[in-house]
Amino acid sequence: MAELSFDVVQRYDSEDGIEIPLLLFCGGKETKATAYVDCGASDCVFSNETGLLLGLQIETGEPKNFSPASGGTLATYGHLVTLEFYGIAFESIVYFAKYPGLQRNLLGRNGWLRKLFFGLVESVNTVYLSPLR
Amino acid sequence: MPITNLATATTLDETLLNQALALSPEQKLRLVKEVMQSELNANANEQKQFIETLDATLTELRLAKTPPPAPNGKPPWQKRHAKDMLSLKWAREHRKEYGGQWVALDGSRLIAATTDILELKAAIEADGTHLPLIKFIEPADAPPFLF
Repeated sequence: MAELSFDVVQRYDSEDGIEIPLLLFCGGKETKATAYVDCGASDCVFSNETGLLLGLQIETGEPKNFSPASGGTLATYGHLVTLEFYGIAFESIVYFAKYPGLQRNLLGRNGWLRKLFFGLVESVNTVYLSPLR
Repeated sequence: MPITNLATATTLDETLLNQALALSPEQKLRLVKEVMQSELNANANEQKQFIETLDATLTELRLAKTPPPAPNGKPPWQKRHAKDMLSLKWAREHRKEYGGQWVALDGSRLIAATTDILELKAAIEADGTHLPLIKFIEPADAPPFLF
């Protein structure tokens, strides 16, 4: 049987998703927000409002459009930020929505999942995490 | 390149590197900005390599600056996390009253709730709390989320 070990084990509220509080740092500014783990998202996509609170000039970032499962197109701009959660910190490109109104920040594969060892047992609302070494 | 020229180039590289390391913090910042601007104009492959190296270096710097565990042995993030959990609990319990608004919370204390993010930012500054948790509270009657 394969055995895995992780640095961090955390329980989350199961009501509406796997929500993780996190600190964002960029250019000497910081803010605290929450984001949802989304294995179906290709990248980390955060709201325009979170970017403004972080003091970003959002449209100076790398432009990228996303196609949400619900249809349409979501215009975003990528910025290099530091994400810190559960004592783990790393730099990531996070895409901030061009327009306000995105209700959730999403932690996707690039920029988050691929930088971690990540385990999930949804039936007991528990995540297991270690930074990729 | 002939060996003598190669040696000269290496010496020149070392000299430039030593000069760069001897710059004041302000001059170093200017140098970094200039290099980054130059890389932004480079081709995609060169840029990728630059960004990856920069990413790794910044992560190393940031981790080196991570504060050591508190004297009681409990890392600071766990204390912050306990406070954040209070904030999330508060948000769940008050979804009906504050659905559709952005809230700033210091543990279970509501600093401000508004639909205007700039108004929220001003309220946080006026309150003076360092790094409150900021969250959009989805309306209680909102259908399940799908991105």
